[in-house]
Amino acid sequence: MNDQDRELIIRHLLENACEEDKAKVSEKLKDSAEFRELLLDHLDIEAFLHSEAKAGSFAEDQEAFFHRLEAPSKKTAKVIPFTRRTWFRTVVTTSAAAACVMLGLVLLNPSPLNAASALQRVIDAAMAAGDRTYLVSVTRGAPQPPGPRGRGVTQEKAQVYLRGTNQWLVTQDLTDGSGQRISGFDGEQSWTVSGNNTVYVADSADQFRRNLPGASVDVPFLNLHEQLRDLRENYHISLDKDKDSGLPLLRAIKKSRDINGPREFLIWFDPDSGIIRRLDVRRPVSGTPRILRMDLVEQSPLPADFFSHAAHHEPERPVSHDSPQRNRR
Amino acid sequence: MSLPNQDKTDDSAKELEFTKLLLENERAIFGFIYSLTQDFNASEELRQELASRLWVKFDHFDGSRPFVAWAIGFARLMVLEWRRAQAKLPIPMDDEVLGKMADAAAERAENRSDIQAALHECAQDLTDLQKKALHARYFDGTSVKEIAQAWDRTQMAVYKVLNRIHESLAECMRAKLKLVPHR
Repeated sequence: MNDQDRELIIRHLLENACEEDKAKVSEKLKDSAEFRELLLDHLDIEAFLHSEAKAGSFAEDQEAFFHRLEAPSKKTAKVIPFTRRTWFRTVVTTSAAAACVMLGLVLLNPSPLNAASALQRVIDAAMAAGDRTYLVSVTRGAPQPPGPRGRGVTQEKAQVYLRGTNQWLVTQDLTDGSGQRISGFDGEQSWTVSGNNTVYVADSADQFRRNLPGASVDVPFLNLHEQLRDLRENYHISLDKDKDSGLPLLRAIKKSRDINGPREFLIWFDPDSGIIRRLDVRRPVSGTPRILRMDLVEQSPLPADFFSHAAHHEPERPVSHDSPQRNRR
Repeated sequence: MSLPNQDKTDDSAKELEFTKLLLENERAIFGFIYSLTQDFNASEELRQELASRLWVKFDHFDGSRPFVAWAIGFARLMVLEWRRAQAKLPIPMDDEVLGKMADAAAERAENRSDIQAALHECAQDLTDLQKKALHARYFDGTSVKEIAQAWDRTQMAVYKVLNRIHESLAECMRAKLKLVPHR
């Protein structure tokens, strides 16, 4: 093997090769086992350099590099929706300015230390008081249980509204087209109402959990910050960058079968604010993966009474504090 | 005669075992895929897709065999599918050459942790200028031409820096692994 071969390979890997060079590489790969080994050596190096660079190992000022991730958010601007090719058109609308911001996002160190810092940032953001709206879908899941009076809800396009750590509201379209099922928790009472029917109210936050999207996978929005805290203890955490969106991506895989909870979480988040842009919760059931996905679509403040049931029906609607057995469908 | 459910693996136990094996062998599998795609982003995508496929097939995994070899069997097919679907490849290879590359890459996958450790040690000797070039090239994804413009240097100067890094890492890696240098 001579220096010319080595240079030829490096030119090729650095995208500095002309067509003639490429033809030579093809030819030598065919004829020489030694050349193939040499190319594999340099491909190992390329893969290593990519991974290390993504981890920030070559950043000039590592402290500054990670500061952005760990610094408190100063942003109060409207959320930049998650952008992923297939969701771009259907889920969110984004501005050119938002795209520029996303392109400028920093990469993150996938070491456990920085993954832990990133997770803490996400937890802090989840505990903040602001309002967030997510679009929720469940894929490859079992059909949802039927709702009150046998009506089901669609699997797609449920909306989840969150405020702080203990208020949430979910809207789901009824499959018979008669309206929506709205379920919520105002911090003290949980409630659910389907179409023009009776409002059911209970004191437990998860009384109507069974009706919510993703009940077969997990319902992370019921106590998102607690769920995220649990990842610190019971999951292997890694941090990477999503190539499509440019967003940092936290990946959490359950450490042990003895731990309750989904197998895997994928969390795409805003590196400035720590706010979750997309959350995938994966739990295989009988060998089939089921995925609950939440996509951030809005961050505007909601009305003060938005999470109470009274804000979602006319005053004369019957309200039942009935037994859990009757409320649970 | 065994009862119908007697041999069924418990989902949780299966999950744990799968996750452990996948994490242990992730770098080796990725290295194999990257060797054959020569495309970092495509390799990331294929790795994720592979994990799903492996999970579906995990019931058929024979625990007495190395997981990495089993996974690479699937990875190989996926890379072939991927290459067939590409309009343009960095280096076209016929099936025979690709097969030889895949065999050699699979063999390396079993020593991936040694390769990785050697490269980590070798990278300690990189100079500040070299790190700056690597950050620009692999973190920012900037081309040699763009780096040259940003640094107000010639393309050849930047290329030489990157070339030197590759050469020195290759030499150092082979020395640490006690391999015969390619001469």
